[in-house]
Amino acid sequence: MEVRYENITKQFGETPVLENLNLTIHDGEFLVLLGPSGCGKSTALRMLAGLEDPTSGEIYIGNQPVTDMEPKERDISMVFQSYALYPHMSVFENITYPLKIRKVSKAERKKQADRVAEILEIGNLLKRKPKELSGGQRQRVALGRSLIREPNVFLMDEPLSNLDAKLRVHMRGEIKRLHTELGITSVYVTHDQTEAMTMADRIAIMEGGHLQQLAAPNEIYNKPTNKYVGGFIGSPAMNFVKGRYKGKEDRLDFDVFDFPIDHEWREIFERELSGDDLYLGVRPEDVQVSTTPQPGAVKGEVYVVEPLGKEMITIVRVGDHTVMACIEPDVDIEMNQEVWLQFKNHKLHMFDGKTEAKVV
Amino acid sequence: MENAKTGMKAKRMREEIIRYTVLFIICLIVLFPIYWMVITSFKTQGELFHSTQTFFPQQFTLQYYLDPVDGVLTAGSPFLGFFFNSMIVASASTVICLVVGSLAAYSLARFEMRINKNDRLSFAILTARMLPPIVVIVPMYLIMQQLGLLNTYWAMLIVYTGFNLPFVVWMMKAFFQEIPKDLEESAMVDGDSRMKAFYKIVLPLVAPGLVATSIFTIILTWNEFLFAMFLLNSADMMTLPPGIATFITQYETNWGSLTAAATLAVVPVVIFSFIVQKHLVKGMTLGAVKG
Repeated sequence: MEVRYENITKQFGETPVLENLNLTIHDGEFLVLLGPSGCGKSTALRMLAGLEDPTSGEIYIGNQPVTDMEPKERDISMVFQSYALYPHMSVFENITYPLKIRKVSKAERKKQADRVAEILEIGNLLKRKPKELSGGQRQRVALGRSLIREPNVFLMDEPLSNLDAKLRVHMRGEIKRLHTELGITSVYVTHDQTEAMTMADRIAIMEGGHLQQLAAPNEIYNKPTNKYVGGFIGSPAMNFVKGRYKGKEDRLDFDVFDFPIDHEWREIFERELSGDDLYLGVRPEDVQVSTTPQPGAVKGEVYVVEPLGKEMITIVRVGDHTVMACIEPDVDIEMNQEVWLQFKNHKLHMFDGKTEAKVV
Repeated sequence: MENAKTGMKAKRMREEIIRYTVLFIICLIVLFPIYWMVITSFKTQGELFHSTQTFFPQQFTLQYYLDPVDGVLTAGSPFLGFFFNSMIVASASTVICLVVGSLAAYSLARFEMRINKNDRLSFAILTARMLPPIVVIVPMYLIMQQLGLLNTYWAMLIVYTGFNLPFVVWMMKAFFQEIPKDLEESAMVDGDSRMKAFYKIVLPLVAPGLVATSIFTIILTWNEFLFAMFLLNSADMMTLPPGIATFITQYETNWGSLTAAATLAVVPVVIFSFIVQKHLVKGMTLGAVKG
């Protein structure tokens, strides 16, 4: 079912947590709410679940306004970060609890539990208590409890953050697969960009109580709408170099180097820039490093080299700026060596110096 | 090597001996009056007033319990009435305290209320315990007199509930705060109302707390003397503590009946404590959340 947030604002006392959130989640979509802690993503999810009331605005599930509804009336299921398994119940009782509340017969509950247990491979655990399970098993049980019925919306609040790295990667794939098979609208909250990029149909990036960008993972990566999104997504993070627009001289001035622009760019800058200040954003993988002078390249000095096996991260000082580059691991460079940097022109991002919105 | 080992063993042995000696002395101090009470209730009249007292009855007698005229267990003895009154008052006030107190404690533990900013409300509830009971006994007597509640169960229920509720609220609040909020939120998302999530998920998890709190309130009300003494002055309404005191009269103290009644008065509390003590074991919530 489609989910819609309309002008949702949430304040805790005087502190605003979410301001005027408008967001539509399509039927069957896997939407990831991504952002640092305190950005309002969990609050947005909890309001959809009915565990938190918005200060103003309306939330719709399907065409039904649900803002004044109790959680139980919304027909949603949710996986909590802590799993929230009922400690006094066995795994079987935990998984079938939502059915028991709905007065489903015992035989049917047994059938459904077996079905879910098979999907999640927890059939041998049904008699155990939560405290006798490992972290990964608990996580599966929590998933099982929300999969036992077909809810309108499936909510997940950082469900993988308590697992170790290897298990996290595994469960990431499992959840994505389950979603494709079941096709239930899902909202997934995380602060982990890898989870967001790998699982989402679309990502909603939140920061400071505002929705920064809502788009498919590739678009978020390739066309960030502002400096925040550009810097948040991608690892290692995007390089930013502060500079000024010099329209009359057909160039951008970055102190230690210039960047020539044609009249097409000039038109855009004239139209979009709020002042003269701007940021050049370039991803480390779009920076080329050569050990010999190249036409149009910027000269710098290698500050640190970090080999990672499949690639090598090189931090280069250009005047007062630091630029990070991801390069082939077999390039032979050393600390303090002079190098020349080239930026892939079509992969450059320009952000307004004041509003930080994307210009080009 | 071998020496070191035996040395260690000897040291541990010494520690054990000291520990048990201390425990033994404490037990002796605590249990001796009870022991004395019990054996006194089995001694004959002659032995009770003999110049040399013994640690065990020379002549074992059940006359204070079963004597057809004044045995405390004989039908029509005032003791049975006291016992019945105590049962009613203690159990009813404990039930009321637990029901009202745990609901209050739950809301204090879970909801942010402006009235409870900085725990103001919780503290206000506790102030009911700040005055020593003797300070309020006269006003309380006058109030009950005006309300026409002297010599009724109602008077005792009101007073005991009022005095024990703050303890119940504070104890239960601590227990509720230990239960992760996620559990009942999860239950609510699964389809429970908050009230249902409360008694199906939260309450079973604070069962050890409920047990501990109920033992506490039962013992307090069962033993309460002062209010009962003032607010109940007809023999047929008295609870055990003032009732047993009636064996001490202006002219004589009936030690035999008094200790027999006191011995029997202790029994229900001991039995109750033994029944519920296994529920006192905590750790039920372990493993509920995270690893």
